[in-house]
Amino acid sequence: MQSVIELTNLTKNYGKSRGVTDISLSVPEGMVFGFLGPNGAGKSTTINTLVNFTHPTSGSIKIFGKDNIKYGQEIRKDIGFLSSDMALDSGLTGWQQLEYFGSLRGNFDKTYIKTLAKRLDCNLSRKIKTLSRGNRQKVALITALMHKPKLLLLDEPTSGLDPLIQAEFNKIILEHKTAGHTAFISSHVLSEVQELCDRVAFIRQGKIIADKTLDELAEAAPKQIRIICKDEKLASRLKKLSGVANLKASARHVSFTYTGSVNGLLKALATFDLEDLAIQEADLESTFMHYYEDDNGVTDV
Amino acid sequence: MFNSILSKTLYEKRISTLVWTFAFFTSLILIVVLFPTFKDSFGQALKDVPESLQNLIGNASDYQTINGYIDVQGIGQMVFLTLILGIIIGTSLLAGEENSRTLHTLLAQPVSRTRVYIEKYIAIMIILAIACVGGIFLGIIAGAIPIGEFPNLDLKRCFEASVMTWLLTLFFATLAYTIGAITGKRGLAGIIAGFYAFATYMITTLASTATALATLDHFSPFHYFNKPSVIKTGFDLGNLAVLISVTVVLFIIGLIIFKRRNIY
Repeated sequence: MQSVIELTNLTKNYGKSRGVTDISLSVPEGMVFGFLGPNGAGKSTTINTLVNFTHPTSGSIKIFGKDNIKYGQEIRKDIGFLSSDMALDSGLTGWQQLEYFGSLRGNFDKTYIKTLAKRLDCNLSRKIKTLSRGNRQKVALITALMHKPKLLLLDEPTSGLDPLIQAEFNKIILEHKTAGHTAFISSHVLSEVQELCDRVAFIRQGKIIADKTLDELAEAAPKQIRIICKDEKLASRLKKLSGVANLKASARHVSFTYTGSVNGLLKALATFDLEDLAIQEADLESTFMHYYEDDNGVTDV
Repeated sequence: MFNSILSKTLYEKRISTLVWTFAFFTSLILIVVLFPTFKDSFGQALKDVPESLQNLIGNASDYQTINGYIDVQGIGQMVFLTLILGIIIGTSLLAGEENSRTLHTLLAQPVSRTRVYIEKYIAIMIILAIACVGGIFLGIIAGAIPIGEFPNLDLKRCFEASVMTWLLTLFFATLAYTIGAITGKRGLAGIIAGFYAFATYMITTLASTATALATLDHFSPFHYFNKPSVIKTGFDLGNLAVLISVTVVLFIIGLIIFKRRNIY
């Protein structure tokens, strides 16, 4: 499958400050790709280089197989971009703003725009400066979607949107994916990423620390285990078992997180008379916290 | 409604353009209708004024004809206001939009930075032409009619003086625009352009009496603006060439750097 985005050893420094360091990523066509990390990790830096606001210090960016700097203008015809702090022209109405960008793109599908506005409950007849932050974000979202782009670059896209509109946004992204198109989403809303994304990359201090599918993440992430057992020796046996962490034990209840082969755990438990066993798959939030915990157990967020 | 960056920019600036044009227009009317008063009293009083001060406010003979009066009181004074407009508009259209981040939204569309830079600059040229040439030239005519001086007006020279005012204003607007394009900082662009305008105005004004400033004066755009007076002698092709050339060079430097730099 052809890569829509191909980052090769991308480094971007701001003078002496770090932006991102030696990032390599590949996003195939038709994939919704999540890009996660705490504030200042390098998410916006990466997206800004993808949209060509900033140029790489070293490394290369290819989008649709073309060099992003050399063919930037051509590439942007097929890109829809949205950021959480996207500023629109305050003196224009939403409709005028869309008409303006439509004319620059040479593509203004009034019917489709009206459909999007209806789905997102967006009033396009009011001036941008009179709109609330959430409503401005809806107009910005339509500017990103109005030309049915092949690639969506979304930096915190649902920031400011209410839950109903967020749900509608999720549907639109899934329709975008169903149509065979690609999306690259940076977000803090982990439930949204979990619902939308096929693959997720974690960035920490300017470097990619994991790049996996959600299934791979679930496998690698620590599972939450809860056991009811009268045998007091269970806790001491579990303490010795590799992959066990955060162990808490009371009279009959034992809970802990476990990373590793389930068989190893089941073998260890087989010698005990258990009253109950619950294994809960890690959600993205606990996976996220797992990746951003430093060696001292302090979360880097 | 908008089919270009230029048309959208002009639409967005329509109110402020009209307000500035009206301000120049009415200011010129007020200045011109006072000509009879100045002719009778002020001209005589200036005979005893030192030469350095006459460089600022004109000499006695300037106040004896409507054209000379417009030269020193109209064009000479209005240029301060037009420069303010030039620097404001020069800093707002690129650096201002970068600061407000609407430039980012625009650059996310499939448009080249060259197109953005050029179309916004053309908008500056048009806005300043409307305000400087339209407001000043029409203001002179509208002021001369009620005092019966319209037949004595040298319309061609007054128009040329308005065009020269536009060119000088465009130079400072270009300076502000270029600094904004290079740095992305509206405040810095305004401060540098404003300081340069003030400093060079003082240098040119004082250079005729302070010979030490004569060399520096050649770096002043005011040196090429109204020396010799456009209303008295018409366009000076050498002055025109210098002002236009330096403006074009600034424009090109700004474009080259704006195309390549990071937009934060």
